[in-house]
Amino acid sequence: MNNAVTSSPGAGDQPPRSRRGGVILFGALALVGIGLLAVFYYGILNPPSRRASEGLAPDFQITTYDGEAMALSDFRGTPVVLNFWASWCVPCRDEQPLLQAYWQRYQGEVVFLGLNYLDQRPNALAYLAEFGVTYPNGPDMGSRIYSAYRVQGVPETFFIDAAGQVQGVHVGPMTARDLEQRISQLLNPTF
Amino acid sequence: MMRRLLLALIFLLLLAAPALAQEGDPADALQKDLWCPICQGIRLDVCDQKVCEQMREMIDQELAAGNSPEQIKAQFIELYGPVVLGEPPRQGFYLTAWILPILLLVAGLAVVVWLTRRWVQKPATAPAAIATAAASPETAPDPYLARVEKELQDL
Repeated sequence: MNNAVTSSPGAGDQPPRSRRGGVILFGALALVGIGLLAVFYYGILNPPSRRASEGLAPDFQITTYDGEAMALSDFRGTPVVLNFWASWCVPCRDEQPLLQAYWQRYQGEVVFLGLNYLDQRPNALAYLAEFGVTYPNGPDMGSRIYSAYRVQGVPETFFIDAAGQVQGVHVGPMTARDLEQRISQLLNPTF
Repeated sequence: MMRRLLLALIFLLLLAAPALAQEGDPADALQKDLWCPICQGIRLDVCDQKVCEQMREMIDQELAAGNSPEQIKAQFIELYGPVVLGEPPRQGFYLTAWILPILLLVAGLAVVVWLTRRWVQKPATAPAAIATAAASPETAPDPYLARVEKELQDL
């Protein structure tokens, strides 16, 4: 019986066709596999959860609402308080007077920089005028800086020391005590 | 005949309805085209976040200023980033998000075609085998018949 099955005429043509189909299938699957591997390794090399909470602060360039072009690296040698905010963000409004007050108190010792996130120029300018903000502020065009710092939401504030290293991050609105403590740490690293 | 024509007309109208609706109000069309940048999968037209409210106001202002929907969309991308499109940008590494599903589809189709061809070819061999076996019963000695023969001889 078995001999009869294996010696049938139809079976003689099958292997070459089957092999060709197998090769095409293998090629297609290999292509998909390579693509998936590329995505996998890209994900490993660029983990989305890696936040700029320590190490060298990502450098960036902005043009402030006053038209001044500046880069974070311009301030190397001076600690920087980098605040992400938006005019539509209610908690940002809570901490804004505090930021302005501390900017006035530590002017010359610490640089304050405001980055406006997902906002429009008229709304941002109205907000800055409302709180009488005088330290540099500019739009984060295309949310690129927000992405580079892996910010979770606004308000969020990064504390960068004179060497350009991130010393800490505060998520959410700050109290006077938070800000005082963070600035003291920046000015006196052994604090 | 008339009934078929009427059905075809209704079908075409249904197909064209979204396009006609967009033609009607460019602000609505833009709001449906853009996504809330801080939410997960919520369209601008149905979002109640303050940021979306501001975006809708901007759309109205820009349209009133004579800017085209495409220009407004480009402004949003420049200002807010591609997140407002609700889809990965068609450039750089993001292209994998567009290409991979197509590759998976092609691979899936290749598997289906390959398996179907195998299934279609296999049954052809089975009847042939049966036919071959049936055509020459003497070539395949039946053990039952052999045993009957032996018992008959013993008698």
